[in-house]
Amino acid sequence: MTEKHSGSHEIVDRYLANRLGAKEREMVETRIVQDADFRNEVELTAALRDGLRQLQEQGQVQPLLESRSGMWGRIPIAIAASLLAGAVGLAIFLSDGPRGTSPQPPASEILRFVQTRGGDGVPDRVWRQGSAPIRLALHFDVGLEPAAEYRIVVDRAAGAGQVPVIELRTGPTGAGEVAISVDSALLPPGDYRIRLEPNSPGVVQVPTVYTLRVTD
Amino acid sequence: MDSAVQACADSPGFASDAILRDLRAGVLFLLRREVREPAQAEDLCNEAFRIAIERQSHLPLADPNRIAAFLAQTVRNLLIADRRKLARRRTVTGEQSAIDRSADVESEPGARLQSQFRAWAVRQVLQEMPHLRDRQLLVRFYLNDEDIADICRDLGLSQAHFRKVVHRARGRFRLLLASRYSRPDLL
Repeated sequence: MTEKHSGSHEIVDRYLANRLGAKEREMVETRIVQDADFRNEVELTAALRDGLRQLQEQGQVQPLLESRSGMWGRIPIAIAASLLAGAVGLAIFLSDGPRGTSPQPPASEILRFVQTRGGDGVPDRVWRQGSAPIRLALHFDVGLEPAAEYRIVVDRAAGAGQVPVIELRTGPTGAGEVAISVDSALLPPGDYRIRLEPNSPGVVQVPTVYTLRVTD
Repeated sequence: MDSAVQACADSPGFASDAILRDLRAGVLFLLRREVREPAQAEDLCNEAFRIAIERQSHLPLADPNRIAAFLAQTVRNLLIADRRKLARRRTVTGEQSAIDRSADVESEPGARLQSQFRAWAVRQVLQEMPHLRDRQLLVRFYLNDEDIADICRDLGLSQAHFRKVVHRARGRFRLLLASRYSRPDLL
């Protein structure tokens, strides 16, 4: 962050908090009229403030300011041993390559998962299964501060429950994402839940969950 | 482009189309922050440009680069005049606060959706911050408008750390807002 940007942010913050004198305010408003980049910064900051006010009105700010040590300290145990034994196609991959005996198909598609306000039962990504298996590279946005390591669990929806498909551990990439490589044959058509459980020493972080729908 | 703004474009020595579009966006931004009704903001924007072209034709600005400053000042004057007009026209019923609440611009579906999305994006940013004091910093600064020095002192932070947290939160917020339509498989 440059000093210039830092200075701009500061005056924008003071403008929106009505903490500028008349002359400074005139200067900022002139700059808003003539400088599109500066105006975008003001708009972004105003949107952030508006979003916080909305959360406050909905009573959602205070829970976010509570310590997480009690709430998020325990990562739930997802699958019992008996379910694992009966699971279909349980495989374990390392992020730097497969452990299985059959040769891996070449990576030919990347699916990126980002935080969107999808919700309401709409999957984060929909992917159409082809006739031949390929290697799918799944890239996940894991938020503002990636953890040192993630346990990734991929489950497939089956009836009222979930069937485990993949479980592995990996760390974030240099780009702040988590990436895994999957043989698409392991993902027959259906709905999948991908849970990324962060593991950072001394820090409690919220798991990230994405959903994928595979169609034929 | 609006006729008033187009007249500015046609006026010799005023500004090019691209610059005018930019100026118009800036003027509208200032007006929408103060005026509830989008249509009213548009009307005042056109009025501001009409005044600017009149000024330019009768008494050109010595420095054309001062057009932005002139427009910003014109916006301030128009807003003051508009508030005075509103105050004069207002019928005293004793229920003004109820009337003001009922004319909520966010009753428009688009504005309401945008507002909800912003709230979601902010909540997402806060949830992704692992350190409680960073979440407290953001809320105290952007919601409570507290002073930076006070926040840093209370939370035991340096101002450098404060700026880093704010910068990263803003970047993440921007990314989340931009990702709103990032659903290529659904297009």
